[in-house]
Amino acid sequence: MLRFIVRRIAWAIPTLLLVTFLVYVALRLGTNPVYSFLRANPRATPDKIATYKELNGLGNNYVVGYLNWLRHFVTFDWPRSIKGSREVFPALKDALANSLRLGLAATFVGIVIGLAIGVFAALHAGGRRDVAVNTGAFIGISIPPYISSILLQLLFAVYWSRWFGHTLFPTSGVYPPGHEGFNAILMLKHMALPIVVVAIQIIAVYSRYMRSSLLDVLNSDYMRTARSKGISERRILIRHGMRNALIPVVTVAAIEVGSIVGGLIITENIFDYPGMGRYFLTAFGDGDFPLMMPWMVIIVASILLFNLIADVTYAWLDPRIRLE
Amino acid sequence: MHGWIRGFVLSKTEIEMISPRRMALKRFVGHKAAVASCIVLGLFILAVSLSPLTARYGVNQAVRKPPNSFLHPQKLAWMGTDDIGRDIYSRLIYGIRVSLLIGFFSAIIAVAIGCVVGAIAGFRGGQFDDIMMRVTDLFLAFPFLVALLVVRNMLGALSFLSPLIGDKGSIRFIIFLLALFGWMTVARIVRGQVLSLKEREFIESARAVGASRKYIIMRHLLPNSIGPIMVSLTFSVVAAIIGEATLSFFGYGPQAGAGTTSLGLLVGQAKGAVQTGFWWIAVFPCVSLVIISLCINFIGDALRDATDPRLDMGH
Amino acid sequence: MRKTTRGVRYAVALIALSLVAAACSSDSSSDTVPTDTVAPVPEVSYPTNLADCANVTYDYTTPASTSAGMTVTYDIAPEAVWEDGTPITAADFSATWSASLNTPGSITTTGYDQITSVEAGTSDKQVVATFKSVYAPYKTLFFPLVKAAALSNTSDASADFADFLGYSARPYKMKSWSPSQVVYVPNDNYWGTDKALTKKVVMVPKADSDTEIASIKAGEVDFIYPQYYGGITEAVAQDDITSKVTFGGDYEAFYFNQKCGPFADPIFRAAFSMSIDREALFQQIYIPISDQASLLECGPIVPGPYCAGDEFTGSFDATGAETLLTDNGWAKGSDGYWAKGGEAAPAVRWTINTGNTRRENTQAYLIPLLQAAGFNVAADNCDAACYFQQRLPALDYDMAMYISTAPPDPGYLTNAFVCDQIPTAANGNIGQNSQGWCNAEASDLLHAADAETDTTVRADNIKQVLRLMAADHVLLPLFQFPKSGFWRTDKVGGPVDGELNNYTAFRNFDQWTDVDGDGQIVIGAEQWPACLNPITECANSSWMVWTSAFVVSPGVWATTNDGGYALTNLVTGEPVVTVL
Repeated sequence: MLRFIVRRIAWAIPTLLLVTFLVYVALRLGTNPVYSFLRANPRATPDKIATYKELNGLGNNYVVGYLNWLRHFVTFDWPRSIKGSREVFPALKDALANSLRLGLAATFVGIVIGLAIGVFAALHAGGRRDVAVNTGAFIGISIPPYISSILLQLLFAVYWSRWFGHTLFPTSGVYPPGHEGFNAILMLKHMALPIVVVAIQIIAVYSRYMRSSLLDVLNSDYMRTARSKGISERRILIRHGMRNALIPVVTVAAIEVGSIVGGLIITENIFDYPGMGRYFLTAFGDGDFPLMMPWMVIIVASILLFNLIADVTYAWLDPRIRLE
Repeated sequence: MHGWIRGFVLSKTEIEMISPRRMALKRFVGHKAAVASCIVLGLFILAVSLSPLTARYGVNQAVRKPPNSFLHPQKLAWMGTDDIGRDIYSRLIYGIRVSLLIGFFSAIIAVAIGCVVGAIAGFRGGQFDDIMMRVTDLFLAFPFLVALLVVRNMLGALSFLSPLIGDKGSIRFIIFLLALFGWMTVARIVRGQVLSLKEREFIESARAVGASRKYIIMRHLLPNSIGPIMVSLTFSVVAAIIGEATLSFFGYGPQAGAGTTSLGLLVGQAKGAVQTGFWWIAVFPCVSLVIISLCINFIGDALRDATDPRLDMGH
Repeated sequence: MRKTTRGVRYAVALIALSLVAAACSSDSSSDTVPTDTVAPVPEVSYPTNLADCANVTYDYTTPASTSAGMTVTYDIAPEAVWEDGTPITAADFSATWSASLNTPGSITTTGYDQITSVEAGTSDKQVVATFKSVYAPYKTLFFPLVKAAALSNTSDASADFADFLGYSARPYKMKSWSPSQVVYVPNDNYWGTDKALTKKVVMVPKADSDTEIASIKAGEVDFIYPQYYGGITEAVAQDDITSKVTFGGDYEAFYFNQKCGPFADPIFRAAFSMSIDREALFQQIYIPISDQASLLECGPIVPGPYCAGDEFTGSFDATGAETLLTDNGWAKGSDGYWAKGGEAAPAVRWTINTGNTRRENTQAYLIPLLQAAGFNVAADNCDAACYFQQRLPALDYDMAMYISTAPPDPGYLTNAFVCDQIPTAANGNIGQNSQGWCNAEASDLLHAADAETDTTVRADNIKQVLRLMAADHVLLPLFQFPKSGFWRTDKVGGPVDGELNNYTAFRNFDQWTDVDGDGQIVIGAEQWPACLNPITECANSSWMVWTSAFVVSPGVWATTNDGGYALTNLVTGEPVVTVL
């Protein structure tokens, strides 16, 4: 097991370097940092521009430029943002924390509900309830998040305050305006609507996933064997069915968590939630290369990390997998 | 999406002995929702492909001289008008046409790429397979919108590509962009399929008589994977339609100013209309989007059940 | 859709190139442009691609100053202090001047580049600014005034104020700033009588107009100041929300790039401009936005003392346009587009920012009409950052459409319309004349206006320039854009609607009252600043200055709601202007 993990990590590091290099080239081509610098500093002297280029390795050679960037990145000597010359790390750290909070909560809620619905559908496979779940899941996937969010804002904030004098769940933000400091309840209230919007999509996917996974298991030979031994249906479901059906689900869920941090862009944008998505959109709009690169590193690293976790859990849960 | 994929891979282990295609067709027809979806989708396709006949006004034509903004649904405009007096119904016809075009074409390209990558990875196995699957994992997990935006900018900056893929706002460009990010699921499905087929007798015997790899892939592996490929095609269409809507929402889709419309642009407009009480601007495009993706999803679902006997529960 | 566009564009580009080649090889005797009816346009080459456009040069020399200069002496109020109690002195004026002039990312050096020195007079509390020549718009200078002690380097302020603007000489000072809110609390050391009335004022970002409207309806914010769009009044309609719509310094217009491309040809440009029916466009696009609006006829300025109000009246003349073209050797080709000597004009690239519904609607409405009139117009849009920060400054467009927010002083016209402000290789490509209009007469008039202390003469100069703009078809004014505030009557009171028309917007919130007694006033902001530096390009956004720099920064003059300037309590009296 340990050797397997070590091997996987040994794989992940060159992958991370390769992918960040590709991202580096794509960003340099698409949003030339020199142009962005000139936009922010229209009166910069040629000397100053040359210094900026040299300092940040923005010459014609992308490999040299990348290595230069990498050296600054790992020594934690990050260049300041182009617009406003702000420090990158504090902003990125806050955005990451906010997104992780929202993403993990939404994924947790979504997966738990999705699995429950999936089990329910599988147990009633083919029946009317199954069809209802199926249809509901498809509708859930088909409604764009920016429509569902507006409807939720209207219902729980606008109409609720008209009917009851106060909003149940606020439209946007992390805290009420003017609030300073930490308050878990207020924070949860503000996260409620974004969580629902994200969770709808996750529920839709996982309910269908769990359903098909559980059906596969329920119809497998060993389940038939278990049944023929006279073990109660409930016991079969819990002892054998669920355990085996969950193996692939857990694997996929781990991968999903890795992608959730960067996958909240639309939701964060609508709810004015200061997370990674909003951070990226702002940086992208300004062509702010020094802000975008660390963001990309975090996203790619988290994807690789959770892929690794998925592999390990899969291997750990399913003894049939050979670790080679 | 992962769920469906694994579903195929694990369960497609046995093939019916007698005329599997006919069995599949029989099962598909038995799926009532799918048949209904086919009819509805067929009507949509018919309506949009005959658009000059079915649309009442031009795509940017006002129904009458000003004042013509925000007219209620009425005889003059069956689904009302938008802020500059254009007929929502006619715009929907044209918009759905563009969106279906984007959906189908980018799905076809994505499936083609996915088949090639998946088949080669599954067939060759080893390091190559490992790397290919790592790449698809990464692509799958990478934030879709970010990838679209970054690659969009990059492709737009590579001016030598523009004769092939058009400029950033063109429909061709969007088709390419969505296809570029749509092939991974297909690749995984095909790979799984190829892996399971590879070990079977008829492939072994083809190998034994010295058939080339290309021949085996083209003549045996891909034709026998047609079911899952069809299914992934339908889901790719939905993904592309929704992808276009998302791009449009952020202003990176087809260009409304250039006179184009699309389902995504219309749904994006709907956004502003929810609060105003001009419900017709919001309701009709959104309902169309949901109906279309629902229909395609149902068809894909039925196709999957039809081509995958183990999931037929016999209820 | 139009799959042939690319090919057509290449063909057009080829034709255009051959046209240029032909024009270069033959002498100009075939040129039938009647020089007497067209204003003296300097000889321009006729390139259509950006690389060649860079080589366009202009033969215009800025008129030498006729005066020996001037001084302005400001007497700072003895009680005027910063938030920490330190006095506001000449050093702050000097630092603001130096930082604005020398910071590489400075948003503007206009006016400051006319100053040769800023020094203390008889005491620290007296400032003497010496100008190279008479500078009429001097009232626009030294606002926002920046605290010298807050700058780490007065010749490069770009590293300062990255995420906090700590100084203040106004009723409120900033307590905290983050991506999700900015909090203002009363500045106890503020010396004025208009002290802050509420304990706390909070501004929160609302990135999207739907969320903005939902949040005021739900009572989460007390006041919003949104950009107007068709249907907004319906969207915000609620018993406890009231609104006020006024017409301020914002105006929208079409601009034609004359540096290169099809509109470098004055005949073609005139005919194009004459083919646009502004009145019909106005009825279709702007009346649904606000039925109290009227078509803007002034030019790049709103009605007031500097405009007669009929400069662009009657700009639409479709038959006149056809006659003008046919008289000058143009004819419609088989594709229905105007061509001269068999060579079609290059396609007109109309550029706007993607996602702006009003502008996209305008394109969708107007392009078919223009095509029918024989003009090959194509939308060539890009996102806001690309449009405003790349395409417009680089003059990489043929036709553009945007809103400008004008300060009350017409001095901004000089930067935007004189020959020597056209970005060229000679001036390092940093000019603000982003339509490339070079009319020597107009440039002279504008420069003279800037050096004119007599306001009537100055106004006359500007009016003449506006007429020249109309004659040269530099632009087409469309609409004086409404400024609107919406607020909850159950949550906020006082003079909420008092300054909505002001250049500095809701800056008077220190006088608003907290009706519901929750101890704070909450303002929803449509855009959120990424940084707070009032000197650099960060300040190139109305919302950035409204939510930060204008709140805390003092100035000698403040803009007023009716578009004038009023002295503030920073000084003891009207500064003394001495022409040398």
